[in-house]
Amino acid sequence: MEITNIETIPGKRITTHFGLVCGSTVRSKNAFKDIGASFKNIFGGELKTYTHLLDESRQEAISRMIEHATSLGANAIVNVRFATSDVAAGAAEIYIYGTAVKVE
Amino acid sequence: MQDLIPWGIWIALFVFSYFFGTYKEKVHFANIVEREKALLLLPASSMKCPEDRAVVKTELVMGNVVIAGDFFKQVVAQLASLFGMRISVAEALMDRARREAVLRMKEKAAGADAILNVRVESMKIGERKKITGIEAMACGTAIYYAK
Repeated sequence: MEITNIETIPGKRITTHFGLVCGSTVRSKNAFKDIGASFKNIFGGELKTYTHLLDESRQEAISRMIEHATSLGANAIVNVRFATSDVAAGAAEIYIYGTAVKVE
Repeated sequence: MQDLIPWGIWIALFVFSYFFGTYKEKVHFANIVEREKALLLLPASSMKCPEDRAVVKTELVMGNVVIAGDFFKQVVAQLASLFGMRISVAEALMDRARREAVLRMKEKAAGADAILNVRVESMKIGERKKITGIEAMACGTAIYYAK
């Protein structure tokens, strides 16, 4: 599966468009890991647990999007975009969408 | 005397977080500049058109980072928001987060010739008015040309 965030797959020709595919995941913070974060909040620095949490969530959303595209019979996704929104206190939704296409 | 103890802790925290936060920021900026120099040959652009050359592979790459603000910065930001001033400590924080995110993205695209259509997004982490941290995320399309 080839994924890009530009309109084409460079060097390949798009033969079929399948329309929009998307993947999303809602994750909440871990209250126990948050204790460490509140210490970091006083002295500054990188919050590694949050970085990993968000990275993992994005990977999961991407893999869901890929699943969706595969079920349609596509072999590439173009023009991928990322969006995040707060759904509840301490939780965020990560939403990734793009256009599923077939390339040759 | 009893009332002075919480204030003493507050002031100690304020002063300590200032020195500690400034030191950490300085170290981080030095690190960013050094890595930026090392990755100068891999241009990350916001253009969408690849060069007119044979392409071997394309790949979506991204990098993210969450950086916490310190106690000193939060107090300064609150004070500055009373008078509508420029908050330079927050500017430095955002700059650090974004540059770090772009660098991590570049590091994931090792061996690529260019990164196209780079988008940088940032998000506040924390409930309501409280700012626990700033998340910056950079994503783009790494492109590998035929040699």
